[in-house]
Amino acid sequence: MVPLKPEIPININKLFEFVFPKKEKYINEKIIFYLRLYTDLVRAEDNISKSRYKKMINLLKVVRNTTKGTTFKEDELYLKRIRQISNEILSNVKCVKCRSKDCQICDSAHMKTKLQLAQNICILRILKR
Amino acid sequence: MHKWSKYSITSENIGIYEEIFENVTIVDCHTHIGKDKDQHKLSPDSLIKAMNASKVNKAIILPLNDPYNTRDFNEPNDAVWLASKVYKDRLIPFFRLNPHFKWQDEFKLRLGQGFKGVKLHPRSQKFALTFSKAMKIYEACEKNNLVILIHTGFGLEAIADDLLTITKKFPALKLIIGHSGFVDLDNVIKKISKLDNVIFDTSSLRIFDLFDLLKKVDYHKISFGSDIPYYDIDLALEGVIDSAITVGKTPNQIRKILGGNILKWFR
Repeated sequence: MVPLKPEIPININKLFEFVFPKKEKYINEKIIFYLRLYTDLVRAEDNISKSRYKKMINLLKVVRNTTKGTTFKEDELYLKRIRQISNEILSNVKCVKCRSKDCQICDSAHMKTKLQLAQNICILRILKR
Repeated sequence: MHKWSKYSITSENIGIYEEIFENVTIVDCHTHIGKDKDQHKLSPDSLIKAMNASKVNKAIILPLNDPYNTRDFNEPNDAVWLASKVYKDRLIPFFRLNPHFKWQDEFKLRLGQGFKGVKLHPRSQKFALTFSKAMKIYEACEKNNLVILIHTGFGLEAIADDLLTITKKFPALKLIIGHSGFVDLDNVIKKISKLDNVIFDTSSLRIFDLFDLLKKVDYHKISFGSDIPYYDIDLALEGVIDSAITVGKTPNQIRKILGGNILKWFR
């Protein structure tokens, strides 16, 4: 066996992933999972409007179901938060449909902020795979 | 080590979290208490609980858009004042004004009580950034050395020229750009990011906008903010730290973003 030269830097992560390719497959599955969630969340945000809210409801239901029963147990806290955000917006659909100019409650901008939070969670999970 | 930092350990940034959290004072420059028309609410105790959970030392507190008091915001401003008395080492009080109504008495009262700044929300109070009556508030704040945190997020569009007008007319006014003007981010960065008395607040930015901000703006002009109760403090903090690490900021620079930059204004 040839000894490693001390001056050559070793990337432990890459070495580990080379030795254990299963981890790579797991990581790829996770990236795809979060990309799918992210795409649906962006599309839901685009559909926050009086004329397209039904599409938004469907997309948020898809997001909610996707976050249930995954194999990524280490991310359960984050997935729970995304699910909470989806449920919160779904329970306020009346505000998206609302056509009253003087309504005291409706503020779709705050719904967008919440959806941005969910999107950011997805991107951060991808960054920290 | 923070509860979420373990997810970020890679060969590139191992150890960086320990360095960041060593002797750091974290200041959340965008938090709210009270109740809002849209039914969101947060008590001072709940805010402190959330701050403790995320190791946030101090926070600027702003009143929400109260459903019953949107003329002079007297009651919500009172609630902020009381909270800042109870948690005087933790909370930095800002009061809210509506430029459409008489604000001078409220301004005098809060100035005397020791408030540190004013929150203005052009979308909720339906005014343009350069609305003549709002200009009077900027003038009064500049004269009395009060900081203004102004909402520049959803509900606004091209705002860079207006912000430039305000900063030119009131060069000594200390201005926190709430949400960093993400609706017109490129132009806002180009036009006002080099000015002395401007700080960009990171609250509720998309991660991609946060990357842009961290890459294009001097780190001395960026300050961490969460926008709780609309956003989570721990997730906002995680987002800022990870984005800063990703774009190559050093632990010392990240510590400044987390609190050092904004604290300079309140010493």
